[in-house]
Amino acid sequence: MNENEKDFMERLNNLDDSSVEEIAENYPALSENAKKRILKQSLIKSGFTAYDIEIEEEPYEEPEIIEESEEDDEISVSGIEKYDNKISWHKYASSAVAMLVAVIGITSVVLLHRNMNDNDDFDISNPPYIDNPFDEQEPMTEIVSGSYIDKGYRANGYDYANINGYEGSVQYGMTTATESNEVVTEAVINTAPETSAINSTYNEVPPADNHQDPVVTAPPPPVTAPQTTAQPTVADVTEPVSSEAQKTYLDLLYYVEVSGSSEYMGFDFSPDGSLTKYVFDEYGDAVSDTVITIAYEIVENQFSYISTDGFKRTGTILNPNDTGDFTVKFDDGEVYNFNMQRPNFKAFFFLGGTNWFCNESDNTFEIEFIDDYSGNYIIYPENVVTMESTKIPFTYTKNGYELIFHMEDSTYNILKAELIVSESNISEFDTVNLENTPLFIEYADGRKRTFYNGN
Amino acid sequence: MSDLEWEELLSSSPKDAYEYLIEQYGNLIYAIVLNKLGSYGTREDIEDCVSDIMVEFLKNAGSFSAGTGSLKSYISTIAKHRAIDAFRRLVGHNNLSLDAEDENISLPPSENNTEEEAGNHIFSERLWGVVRSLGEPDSSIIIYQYFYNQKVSEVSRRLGMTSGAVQKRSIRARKKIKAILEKGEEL
Repeated sequence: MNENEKDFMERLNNLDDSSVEEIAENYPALSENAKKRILKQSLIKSGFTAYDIEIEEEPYEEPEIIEESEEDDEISVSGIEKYDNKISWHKYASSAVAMLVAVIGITSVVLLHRNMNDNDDFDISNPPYIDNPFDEQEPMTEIVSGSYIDKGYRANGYDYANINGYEGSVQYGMTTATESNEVVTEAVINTAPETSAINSTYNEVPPADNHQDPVVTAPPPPVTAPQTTAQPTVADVTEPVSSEAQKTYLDLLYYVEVSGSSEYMGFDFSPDGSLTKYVFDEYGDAVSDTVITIAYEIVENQFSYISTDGFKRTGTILNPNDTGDFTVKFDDGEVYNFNMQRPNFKAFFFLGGTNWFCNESDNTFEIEFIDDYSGNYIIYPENVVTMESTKIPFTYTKNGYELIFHMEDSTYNILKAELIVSESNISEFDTVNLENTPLFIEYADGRKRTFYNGN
Repeated sequence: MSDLEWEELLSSSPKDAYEYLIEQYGNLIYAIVLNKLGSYGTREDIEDCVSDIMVEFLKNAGSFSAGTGSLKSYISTIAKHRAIDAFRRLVGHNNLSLDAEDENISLPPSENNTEEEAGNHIFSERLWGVVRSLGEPDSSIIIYQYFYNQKVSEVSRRLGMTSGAVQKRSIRARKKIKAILEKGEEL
């Protein structure tokens, strides 16, 4: 953005009183800390003594340590990290204890090595731990054993969408598997719900193969949530998709209906930053750009870090009944965003009935579990009416190279949830790469489930 | 709490009355100050000005009566005057002081730029209209970035988005705004 463009944006002031009032009401700027600071300043200026002011000292949220480039499609980060917490005595003590433990450990290993001198297989230079973090965690041994791993899971549902003035319904299916070459052999095409039904459902569908978790016997118990309208019946009609789909593992499957026209398609996210769209069926003369726009908007809404503006369209599409493939490529900026939060993260969490939150301000991580009245997991794109949801905070501890997330909550019948993320998978932006990172959930009724992101 | 109840609170517990004012009207005062100061002041300057407004309001609280006008309009008027004072102080024109009783207050334009000021105001309102029409989260991003002068990292924390996403959306939103404005008038 050039200087001229910056200037015109900086003229967003000197507004009418009513405009200012509207901004203050709809876009409040003062944080709780700022209010406290102002209150304190006001009281001091009014002659209150420090004794009278029982307000905690709160630092400014500043200093700003990150400066983003204003250039189009260029994002650079520079600055100095500042740490407010000084090392206190107990940290020295902790270090001393850690050192002691380390010394004891090393001594033990050396002694063990001496005692096992005759065993040629044992090599002290190659200690018996591996990179897989779950080997070090007792609960995760069950995952490694494979007995609780869901090999494949597919979910589908539908959303009502009202985007850019277009109303339409969207049905989607998402697939995941632990094996990337798993073939999607079927897809679900549903009769579109009434457009007045502003809601969405999300149904977990067991995989067609025999990889289903044998432990799973029943879905989670129903959790009541408010409904604004009656839930339409989802009549699943399983139809084979084109041979193109059968050859391809797809991350998202969509059925979009707009003004009587429809399109059935799938998206495949690739690690190289490309998003490939497969069109299986189109019907009607209104599909063209409208459907495509909506499809991209939906993708963008669900994966807000993907900007459809950057899509470069190649291939052939938009002919009625076109079953060819269609590839979109991200530009550099998009690839950057793409890599920060890979879509599969969310797809993964969708499957787990969860939504992922990473709060950069206080370095906490939250996972949101959303249930509908039937106990099935549901998701809500930004443009869909939302229902009650609960954020369940995760705490995490650092264990060597890993961050181990812990969660205990009885609300959703979950006894324990653990997510172990390798530190190397956490970017400088605190964005977590969940690729190949399973979420282990133990329900109160004894079921144990592991959700993968599919790669 | 009604204005009358606030008056009673002020006499019994000024500190609580302050707290209520900031909680209730802090964001409005802050926005009024920013509307006048634009990017002239630092965050400390702005917060200092807001606290000055609080102090002045409390000092003159005796002249406020819930029966004659609303607390909101009373404090808004004071905020506008003090914001202009702060603006002048910050730009080096601190030799003027405005009567707190003045209504319809605005930055007095110089003789040569009256027309320009009027044009600027119209443009600002039009810009705000376009920003408002963007839809969320783009409207929020632009307002926090350009009205409140917050950095991308702050905006991203506030909106729960990544800095990259905010940056990207901001760029696209500004292009969109520019395109819309260019259709209607020259920048």
